[in-house]
Amino acid sequence: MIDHQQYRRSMLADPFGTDPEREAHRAQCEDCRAFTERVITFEQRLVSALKVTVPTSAKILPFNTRAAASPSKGRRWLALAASVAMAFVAAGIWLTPRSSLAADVVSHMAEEPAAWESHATLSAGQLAPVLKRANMTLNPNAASVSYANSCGFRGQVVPHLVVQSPLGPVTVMVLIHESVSKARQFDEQGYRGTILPIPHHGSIAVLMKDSGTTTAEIDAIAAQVRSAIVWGSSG
Amino acid sequence: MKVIAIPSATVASLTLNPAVRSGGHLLQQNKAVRSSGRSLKPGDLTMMDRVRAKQRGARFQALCLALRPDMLRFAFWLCHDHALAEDVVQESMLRAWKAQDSLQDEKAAKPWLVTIVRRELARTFERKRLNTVNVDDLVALEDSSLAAGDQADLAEMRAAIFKLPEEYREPLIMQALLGYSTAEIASELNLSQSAVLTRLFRARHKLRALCGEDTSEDPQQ
Repeated sequence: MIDHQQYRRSMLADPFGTDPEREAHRAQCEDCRAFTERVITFEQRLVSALKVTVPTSAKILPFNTRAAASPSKGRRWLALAASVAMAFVAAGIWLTPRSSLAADVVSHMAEEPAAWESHATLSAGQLAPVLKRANMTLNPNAASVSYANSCGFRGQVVPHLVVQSPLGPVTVMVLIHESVSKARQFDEQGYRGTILPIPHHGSIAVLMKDSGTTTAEIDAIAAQVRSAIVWGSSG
Repeated sequence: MKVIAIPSATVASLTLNPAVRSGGHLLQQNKAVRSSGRSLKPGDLTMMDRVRAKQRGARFQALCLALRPDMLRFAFWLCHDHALAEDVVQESMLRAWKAQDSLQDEKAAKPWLVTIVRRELARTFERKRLNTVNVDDLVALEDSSLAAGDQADLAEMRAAIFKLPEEYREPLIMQALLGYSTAEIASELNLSQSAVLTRLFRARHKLRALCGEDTSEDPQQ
């Protein structure tokens, strides 16, 4: 069994590590549980700070097919092949369909692993600035929010929340700029969830880490989340 | 007054690796294919080949676009300069495009790109031989990346991150921003896992102290 010093050293080196010895120590030590909460909170600040705004103007990457083609420049057929390939890639750049909304939501999960780890309920004051961006509030009796951040998503800033449900933490992304015609379930890269249309307010994505939760259960949670949102009352 | 040489650890760790000096093993593999004399004949390119090439190119483009923000942030935290970070990432993307055949598994794209960005940074630093920078001046003069709008809390954290020695800052960024495991960081930085864990512990300990956190309960270093 590791001691306090070893536990805390390990926490500071890797706050989201899953060492069983660490888990065992934490289960028995109240002081170290409190220390863990502080470290996790600090980690969330760290991750937010690291995510500096980056320019999005340079959408066209410096790709060209000459680089990918064979370098034997003297041969005419090669120049022709390069031209053909360049035309295909240029067409590909313009015709590539936007990746799916669900895939983008799931990709965003990898950017904020800390979001899943916090369990303490946020105060209304902590929550309000994030919800204000979407001109919404949450019914405090209907949802216990343990994480809230304003995140860049498809060129917009949207609320990213984690709500504690009886089945575990649930991520909610309020996608006020993304309209969908009907509810869409998805199961990608270890996440299972649904995207619900919200008339006049875009959509919300509700997802959980895939730990045996059924689609029906997630749909039920999503419906609860949707009903907990109060639009146009952010103050 | 603290004075640091911005690229020191990156350049040191990279220039010790012979593979880097010669452009890395991935590029070498590419050169090997090119020099093998194997070439396509005009009739070899069927319509299906072209469609596949187009799809692959589009996939690679989408992959790079998705990873670009994190690459820009990673470069920025290492070089402290938005414009330089953009140049480095742009050049890295071009190198990645040229070497895309060496990326066998799209899931490995992120570490593959990080390696390319680190090498490009090292090349840039070697070419430019940048001067040392006073960290306090840098923090005082930095632009919106430190001001961070109305979030003074984040501004304080960002200033503190800049004050970390690079040997601590780089693994911390790789873990907290890029989601690297200890083993992945060790592999990228040519360190043992225990050395990485020590650096990560010291990085957070220093950072917490710089941010005014109570570190009295932290373990002794």
